[in-house]
Amino acid sequence: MNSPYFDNPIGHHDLSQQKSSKKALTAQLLFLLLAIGLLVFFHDRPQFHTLGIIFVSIVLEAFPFMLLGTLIGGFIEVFIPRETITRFLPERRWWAVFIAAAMGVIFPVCECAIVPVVRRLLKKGVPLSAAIAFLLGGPIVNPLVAASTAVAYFADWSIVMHRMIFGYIIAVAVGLLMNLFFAKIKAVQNEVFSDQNSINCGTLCDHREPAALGEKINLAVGHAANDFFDIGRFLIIGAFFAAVAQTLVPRQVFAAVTDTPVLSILIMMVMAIVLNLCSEADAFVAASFRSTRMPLPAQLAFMILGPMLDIKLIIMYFNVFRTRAIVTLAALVFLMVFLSMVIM
Amino acid sequence: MKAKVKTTVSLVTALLPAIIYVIWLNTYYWLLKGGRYKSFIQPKLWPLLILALILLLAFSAAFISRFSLKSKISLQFDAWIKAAILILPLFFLWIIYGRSLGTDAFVKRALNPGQIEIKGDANQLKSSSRTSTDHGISLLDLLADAEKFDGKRVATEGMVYRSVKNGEHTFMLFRFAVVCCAADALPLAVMVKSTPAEILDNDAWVRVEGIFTIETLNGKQVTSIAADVIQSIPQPPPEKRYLFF
Repeated sequence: MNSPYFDNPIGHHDLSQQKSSKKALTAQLLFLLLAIGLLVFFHDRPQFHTLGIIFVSIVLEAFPFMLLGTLIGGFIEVFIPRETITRFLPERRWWAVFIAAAMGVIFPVCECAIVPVVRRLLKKGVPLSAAIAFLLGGPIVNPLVAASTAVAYFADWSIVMHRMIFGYIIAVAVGLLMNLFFAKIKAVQNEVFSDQNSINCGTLCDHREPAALGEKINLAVGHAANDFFDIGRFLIIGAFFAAVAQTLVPRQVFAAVTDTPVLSILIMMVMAIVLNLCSEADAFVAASFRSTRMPLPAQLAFMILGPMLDIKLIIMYFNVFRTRAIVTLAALVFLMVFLSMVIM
Repeated sequence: MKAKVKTTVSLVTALLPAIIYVIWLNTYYWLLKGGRYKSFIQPKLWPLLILALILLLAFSAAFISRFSLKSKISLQFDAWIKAAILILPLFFLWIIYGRSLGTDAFVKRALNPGQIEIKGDANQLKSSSRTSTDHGISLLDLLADAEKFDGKRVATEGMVYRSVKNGEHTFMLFRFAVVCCAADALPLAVMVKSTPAEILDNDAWVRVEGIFTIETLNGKQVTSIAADVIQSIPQPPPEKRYLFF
């Protein structure tokens, strides 16, 4: 374990990785220039104020969840041996997907927290299908989301049940399909499996040597700190584009199609992707569309798709999955939600 | 001299994560102090901010405890990009603190900015906890219990939205109600009819007194206040501008 990474708090990339991440780095630099350009030249415009308030609000609210997610990931890395995970979620057992999609019931996490957790789980040997099922199902099939949906819809439990059940079925189906289309190694970024972020790990990195509990906790938090420094930027980039979309796109556009059920489902799905709302808050926005006679399947499509796929999440997925896998995942989720709501 | 600068830059580069955590730690502390966070997120979510404080403190401590001078590395461009993106929201916070969502957001978010239908956003609030303003009834309470106040005299506060569609004797009095954060803020509005027409700019804060009614307009039930008092009021402090579920 004498990798140079362990003494390097920033994380070295080997030559091939440096080459492959050059494009991403350029894109991030362009993003910075764009954001700073807006800040400098448009800071006195009302639209900029709206954008800034939405951007800052999303980041302030999502950061604690992401910090928590990376902390959970750090503890998984240090305290849960690979063998334990593969025993509970075995690679070649189809039922692992069904368990993973429902894990949000006992492990309620929002979509911002779940990405770093899934990243660590994949590294620890969780099968791709189960990881995706948890990634998609966790932020919907959980008691907090059920409670907020019930409040927004005046305890209309049929809507709550529809959201949970469809969310679960779609998470399972997409998990199984992704497993058919991709081998784990082809779907997941190399960096997830490498130790490039295992900074300051020291000799504890194989986690086999006996160590004091305090030392292990320190190591777990250290892992979390490194993960956050590495992937926190994806949340920020996503939140920024979400804020841009919310600032520019009027909601009346979405409300104008309520007479055409199929179109209204599609439009509400696009809105879910554009608005990037937290899964605990989206039911309130969906419920506000009842006044426009928005069909129920369209409202459900909004509540089911949003926690699985939005601008912020797509950008965060880039830290876990390869581009082809993200495109397939996005297409499958979109198609599944659309078809299930059309036939509902 | 050049070597010294290089060493310093390398050291700072190596310490960037800790620097970022400490900056964010201070930001969350600043937001919690005096309730400034209410300009962006729901007051009930304060434990979330405490959680962020604790975790950022733990992350900084864990990082620094495992840091050694041996870990000095050369200047890494990507580390600086990561750090710059991570502190970008703070520059936005610095510029926009003290501002709040106004007419621009109202027009984009209200499903029908000219007339807010009573069986829409307002009824959704009935099972939620609500916040009252210091003077009169809050727009949230008013619209949530619209039928109770029908035909009664009310006083409420909010911002002005004037549109050509509404005519010169009418404007919308609106505020935003937040579920989790300003990103999900829902616009709440009531139509205000005044005689003679008051010259009020969009986004101006006013206190309105008059008779509250539920009426039918274009086949939809809408709420309105026939105002006899419309008084400009100072803009509330940032943390009191939104209503919360």
